[in-house]
Amino acid sequence: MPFVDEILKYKSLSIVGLGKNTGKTECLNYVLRRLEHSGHTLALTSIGVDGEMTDRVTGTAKPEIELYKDLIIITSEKHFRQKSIDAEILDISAKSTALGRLITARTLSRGKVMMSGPADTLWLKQLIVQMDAYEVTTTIVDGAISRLSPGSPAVTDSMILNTGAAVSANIPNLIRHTKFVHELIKLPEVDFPNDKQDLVDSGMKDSMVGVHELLELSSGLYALDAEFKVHDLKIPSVFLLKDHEEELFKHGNTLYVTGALSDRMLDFIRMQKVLNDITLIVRDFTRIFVKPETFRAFTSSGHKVKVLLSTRLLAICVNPVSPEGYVLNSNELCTGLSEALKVPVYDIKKH
Amino acid sequence: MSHFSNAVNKVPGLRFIADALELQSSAGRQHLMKQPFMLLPEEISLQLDMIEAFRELLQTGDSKIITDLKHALSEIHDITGTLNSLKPDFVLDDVGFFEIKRFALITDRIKQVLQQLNFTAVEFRDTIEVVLLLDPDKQRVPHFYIYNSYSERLTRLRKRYADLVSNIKSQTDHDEADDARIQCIEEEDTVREELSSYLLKYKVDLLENLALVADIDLWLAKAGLAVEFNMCKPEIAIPSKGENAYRDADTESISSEVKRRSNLPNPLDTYYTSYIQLFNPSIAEALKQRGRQYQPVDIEFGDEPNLITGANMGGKTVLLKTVALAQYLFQFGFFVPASHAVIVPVEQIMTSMEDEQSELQGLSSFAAEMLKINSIIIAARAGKSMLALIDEPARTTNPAEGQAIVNSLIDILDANSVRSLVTTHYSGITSTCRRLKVAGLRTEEFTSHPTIETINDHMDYSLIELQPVTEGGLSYEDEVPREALYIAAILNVDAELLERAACYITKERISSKH
Repeated sequence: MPFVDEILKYKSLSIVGLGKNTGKTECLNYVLRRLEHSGHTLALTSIGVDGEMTDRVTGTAKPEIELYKDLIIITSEKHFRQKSIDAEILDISAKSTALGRLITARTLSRGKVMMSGPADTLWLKQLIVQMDAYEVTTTIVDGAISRLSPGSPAVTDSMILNTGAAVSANIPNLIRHTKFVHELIKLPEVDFPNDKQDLVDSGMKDSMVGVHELLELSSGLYALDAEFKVHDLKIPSVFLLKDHEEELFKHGNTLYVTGALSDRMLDFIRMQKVLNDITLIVRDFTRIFVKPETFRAFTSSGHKVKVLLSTRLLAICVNPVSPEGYVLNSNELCTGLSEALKVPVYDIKKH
Repeated sequence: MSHFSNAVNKVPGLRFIADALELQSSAGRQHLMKQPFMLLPEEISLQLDMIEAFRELLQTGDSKIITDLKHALSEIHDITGTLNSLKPDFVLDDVGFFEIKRFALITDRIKQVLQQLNFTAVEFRDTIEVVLLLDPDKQRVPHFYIYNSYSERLTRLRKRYADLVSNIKSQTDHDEADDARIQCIEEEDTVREELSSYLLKYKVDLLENLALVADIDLWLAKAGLAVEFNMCKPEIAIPSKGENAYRDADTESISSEVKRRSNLPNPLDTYYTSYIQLFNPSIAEALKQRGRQYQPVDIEFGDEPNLITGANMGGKTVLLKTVALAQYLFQFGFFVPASHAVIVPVEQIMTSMEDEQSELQGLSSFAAEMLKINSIIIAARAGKSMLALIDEPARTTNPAEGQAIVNSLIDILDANSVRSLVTTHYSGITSTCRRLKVAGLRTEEFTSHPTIETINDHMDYSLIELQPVTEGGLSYEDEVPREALYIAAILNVDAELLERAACYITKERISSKH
């Protein structure tokens, strides 16, 4: 798979799945096998708890993560004690997770470890930064079951998305679902004139916002006017949108939503027949929690959704085997997906 | 209030102090919460001397090396649990060895930094053997693993296992490798057993060092606070009620010990607590942020009731809270917010102030206050040495009865020689006590009508001692000041209210003359 060489260009990589049993762990093992002799030091951690011997939900056997010598691993005290690998402890965190403190260690043999990691993305980000001390080229984050959050470009620099029979046993359904997520991942970035050098030079920068200013806003709803000035709409919650209908678009048709984008919000804005061509901005695709129908209805009314940070998707991997035991036709699935998504798709079981 | 943790959320201003402390380690933070309310002058003085030593270090030491010291302290984890688990026949795991190794390395670094600074007030137990034991390859990094250098056998077994693993061709090879792996683990466990039993010998030393590191963290933070807020090292005055002061129900021996060590002077002497330029750090900070300045106050008091009168907004309540805060800080081993202080340690600090009286208990403000005052009287009768701070007792009832209650309270405080400050707005307090008055508004300074913002600038918060003119009475000039209406006017209170109030006062004067 050609994407493996791409990985080392990024400081961090998240491997996330659209659901349980989509082959995340097999994908991770594949990546590790391929990078073992690259001459680069890799770090490995997880978000939340993962790496159970059997899948807690379905009871099917889960492949363990196979580690080689000279990897940096970050896992919880509990899982570190159960390891079947020699490792030198390098650090212990002051903070604790549900499974104890996090232990950073260097592997000294081949073997297996259960992976767990920080409970939140902020801590994960800090850990990725700390890996510089051990001369790590890329930190790989094994995402937890059906959580896309570590894939946020605010957390990791690149992503591999896993999908498969476990998401849906019906190939057209599976393709539809994956295509929608892919569409969100590929949402365009906002084009800020402010971030362009000629404007900085012309001295117009002060009054306008750029990506960094917007990223610092942590709550609320903001309007961006034609001059890229930001206005706090002072609407405490999307549940109160109805009471603020008139104020919503008084500064123009571009809104920045700091929190999650919901069905409710999209439907509400679509119903305002006043304006066409409304642009909603969110931080990144992990902030979008909407049904495909709602999203399509919104965009086909002429409106747009954009992101502040776009995601570097390195590959889509599929697992044709579902936890119930039936196997989809791998060729049909891969071809179907790559035609629909216009990106290369790999069957993780074949490699 | 036997420990800092009990007092921190109950004593006004103490939370501010706790938050302002720049503690570096969790061990230091826990140590702060466990600080006892100290009674013995020797104990208090030991703490204050250490803070003084660290303050000097902060003011004269190389700031770069002091940053190194703080950084080393911040890396200390509280490993009490791991150290306490060291027992005969107990085997630590690698996580435990790592913790002990890192701790021993960091204490060694702290020791070196203090040497660089020529600081000799503290002494660590020597644990270099622990470092040597857990760092057999002398890498001087806090990493840990059961190193090959611990056992030649382990080296051989590990090599064999590695060879077997790389040549697995059949199930038999697999089984053989598994066996080799188990042998490695068994040998590692033997090493762990040896290491654990060797470390057991250093358990006490390591625990002592951990306690010392927590002490250093706290002393350094207290010293930093003293520098930041310009606090002073208080002198300790030995109390007049010598024996009572240290009497403790179950530790009778303490009082004889105290007597022996502190050479108590004649118990008939009265000792005074006195502050020069006493200020309240949290209020001073809040004023500073608004571009205003806190006006410090001088106050001195012995073991008798001190009645404080003065205009509204004259800072009486703040004064009481500040005196309480300073006394707590002193007995929790802090410097105090004043330019000079002499303080008598007391067994108990008791207060009755408005904002602590809780309606949650279903009591009216008067009832809650009376119960508080009652507990002060009970403690006074029991002969406890204490500092009692009572803000406007009986203010929520009618003046006639209120005045009578204040008079009787002062009588009882006086009879029991209670070191106390009592504020009041009632006139006609005739019982025997020392009397202080807040100087009040400097009306002669007014060039324009003062406003709610500027009134504090014209308020003179200093205390004036009043002398009785006749036996058992006061002259008219020394009566409680009548500035309430004047201050209400400055606050722009409704004019009709003020005019009518003025009329009522005139009527009252006329009728009383007839």
